[in-house]
Amino acid sequence: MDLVKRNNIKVSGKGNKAMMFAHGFGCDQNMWRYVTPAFVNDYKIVLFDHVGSGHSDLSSYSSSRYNHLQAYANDILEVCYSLNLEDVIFVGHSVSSMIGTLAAIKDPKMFEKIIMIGPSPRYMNDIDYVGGFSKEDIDGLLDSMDSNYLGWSGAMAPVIMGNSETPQLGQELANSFCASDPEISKNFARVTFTSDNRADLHKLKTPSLILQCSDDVIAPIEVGHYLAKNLMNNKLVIMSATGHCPNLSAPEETILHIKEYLSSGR
Amino acid sequence: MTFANWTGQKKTEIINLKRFQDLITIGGKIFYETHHAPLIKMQGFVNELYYELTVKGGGNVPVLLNSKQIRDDKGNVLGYKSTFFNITDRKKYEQELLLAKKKAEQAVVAKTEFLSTISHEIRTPLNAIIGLTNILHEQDKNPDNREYLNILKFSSNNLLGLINDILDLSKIEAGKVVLEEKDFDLRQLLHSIAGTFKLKTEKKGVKILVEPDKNLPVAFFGDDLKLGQVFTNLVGNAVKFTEDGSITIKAEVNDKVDKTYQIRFSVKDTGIGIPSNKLESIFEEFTQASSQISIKYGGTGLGQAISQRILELYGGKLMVKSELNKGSEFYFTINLPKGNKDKIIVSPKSIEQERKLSGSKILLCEDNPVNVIVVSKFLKDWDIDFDVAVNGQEGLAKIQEQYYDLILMDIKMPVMDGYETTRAIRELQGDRYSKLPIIAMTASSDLSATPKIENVGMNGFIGKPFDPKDFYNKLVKYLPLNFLSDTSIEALVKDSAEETKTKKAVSLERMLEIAEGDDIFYKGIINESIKSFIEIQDELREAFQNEDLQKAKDIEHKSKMVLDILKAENLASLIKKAICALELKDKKSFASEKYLVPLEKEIEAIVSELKSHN
Repeated sequence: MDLVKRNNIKVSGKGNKAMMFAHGFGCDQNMWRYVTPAFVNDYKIVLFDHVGSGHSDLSSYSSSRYNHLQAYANDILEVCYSLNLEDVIFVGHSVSSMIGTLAAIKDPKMFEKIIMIGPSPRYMNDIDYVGGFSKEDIDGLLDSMDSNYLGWSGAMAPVIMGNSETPQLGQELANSFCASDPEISKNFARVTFTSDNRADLHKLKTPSLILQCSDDVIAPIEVGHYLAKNLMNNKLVIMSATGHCPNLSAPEETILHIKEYLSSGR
Repeated sequence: MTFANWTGQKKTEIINLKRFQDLITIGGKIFYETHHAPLIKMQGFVNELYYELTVKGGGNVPVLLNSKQIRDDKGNVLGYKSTFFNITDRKKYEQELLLAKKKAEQAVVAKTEFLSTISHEIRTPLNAIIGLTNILHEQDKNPDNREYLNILKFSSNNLLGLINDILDLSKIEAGKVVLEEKDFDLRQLLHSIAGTFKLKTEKKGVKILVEPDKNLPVAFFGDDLKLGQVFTNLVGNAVKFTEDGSITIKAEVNDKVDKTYQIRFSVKDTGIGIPSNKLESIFEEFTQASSQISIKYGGTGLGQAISQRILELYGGKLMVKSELNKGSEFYFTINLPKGNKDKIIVSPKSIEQERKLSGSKILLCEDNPVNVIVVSKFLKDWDIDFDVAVNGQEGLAKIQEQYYDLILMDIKMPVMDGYETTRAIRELQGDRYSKLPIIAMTASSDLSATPKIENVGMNGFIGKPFDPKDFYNKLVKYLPLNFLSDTSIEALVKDSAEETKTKKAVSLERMLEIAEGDDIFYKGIINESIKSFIEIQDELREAFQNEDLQKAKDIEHKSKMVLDILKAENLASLIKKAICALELKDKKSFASEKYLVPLEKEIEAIVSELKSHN
């Protein structure tokens, strides 16, 4: 199988040590564009799209195969093997934090450190657990995706735009990083927002950094504290950035925390 | 102010106090965080995003949002300028449309399922009609009756064709049809299609020509069955509408990129032609050029529509040029990659000698008595020995008692169905069970059953009602290679050697009956039998070593009586197989010892059994 094509793998950077960046639900590898330049000189940068997102090979997607986060984790290991990577520093945004966790549980030797940005082991509230969403919220979300083709996909179709508005992007990229097949998008949302990886946390032996935003609807602050309590060998940083995408809204702060963690030797 | 009205709040409650994210539904919030926010950060604007504003006191207002970053001279983001459109009306229409779409989709699914079920129901009795008509046709010599039977045969076959067409179309429409590609010989495909119409065209005095391009390679990679279906339809129509002149099947190479050939296929006739105002409509379902056509020529008008859909799978389009009373040309252009000629699966040549099948033993697992009658009739005609089991459980038991060369397995049976039985057979220990050819017999035309047939380990399937020729070819395909195989011979010998305790090589019951308690006669007859077996053994050895077929047949005939009385079934079977092998031999491959050694072993077993009673 052509993994490069399947996962739209892009390798760059001048260093030998591999840093792998995994995007979360909703976007693709482009969401790392403000972060990766800070590491290009010292690391080998590995970017990819999850199957079903971005410019991955959509024909490799099937809802039965990707019905659990483990399938995405297995893909990540396959990518690592095919590139002969070792001691990888894994940076996962949102749901990819847990995908990376599952990969590192399966093959602990592959990863040296895991950096989680806006992670959550469970999005739904439970007894003695605050995930941020009620079951009704999640059901409502999936229902709305069912009928709401405008919001989730239709409006996401690539549009032509003038360069003047966004000098940093080429025309062809407009909207495309969030465009996806509505069915795939819905499945990925279902798999993501109904996942519960709390029982896996103690199995992770790899050291981790948790980057928790101050005001994040998707992963509220309680979730960050829960992770810090249940993961061994972790470091929790509460960022001043708000929202769910500090890698886009506050790239400098994100870079700073990652660099600090990597140089601390923990 | 308007915005405040929509959301049922006071202006003062919103301005400078609420962010956009605070005013939308949960789904919207997730969308905002995972799509909207990244997007606007990366491209500076978003257009026509759909949100639902929550109304204070309950309810939602659907809106479309355009939003744009506002930057200062240095490019720093100062804020966002957003425009909302209230789309309550549009949303209503949209919901109606969605509802209608869902209903329509459900209706299509329901239609397909209905067709699949009803077709099974129609095909089962039709199977009986066609099968029994075929039997009567062969037996009845009365010319009047034969004429009626011809009509019955023609009509029932037409009905079957119609049902198959409707099913094909509904399957294609339901998106259930996919290309099953493999390496195949294109020239041979075209010639064999022409061949199937030879009888009809010769009768009419119409010439049928095949003209493949010289530059065509032997092998292509594609779905030969579906392409064959298209050609069969096109040539069939051409034959139907052409009274004299010729029909030409052409394949021309238009272009070649790497290993992919762009080929223009055409079927041209010198028939009645199509009026120019009807040219478009002939591709529509259930439409023929005129209603007179269907009266005069028959047909459903589905053929072209099916061909068109199949070609769409190949990215091609069926086109037509025609002139009234001069003829028509149907043509299409598709891309086919070059195939590997070594990988072409050569279908077994049609075998003239029925002897090839005779001597084999088949188990028919079938609960429907009419089907049993129909299948039995053909098996008897082809001199195939067979047993019948009325359900899977009985079949499974029989298989372990006796050696069979092939199983014909009905799918829907009481107690234990065909799938379950096959699975159970494959789980039995031993080569003879894992390699035993099992052919499914099914009236269901549901394509989704095919993978299941393979999954449980069946080798192939025959649709009911079946065409006798097709049935014969299927048997030829799975039988002759197998029933002379070493496994089958070994299995027979093994039976006699290992199972002597439970199953004797011979049975003396009939002997005892014949002797009627006369002990001296009984002993005498056993003695005679021993002698004759030893004689048979010597004679067989001589006949097979000299490859003397006639002599071997004579011995078989001569020994039939004693083998019958003693129920020496294994020996009879071994002799039959050896004779078959000799008859089919090409000299190199007939190894007399291969057959003689097990034969003699079996005879020894019989003799020692007889001696123990002497």
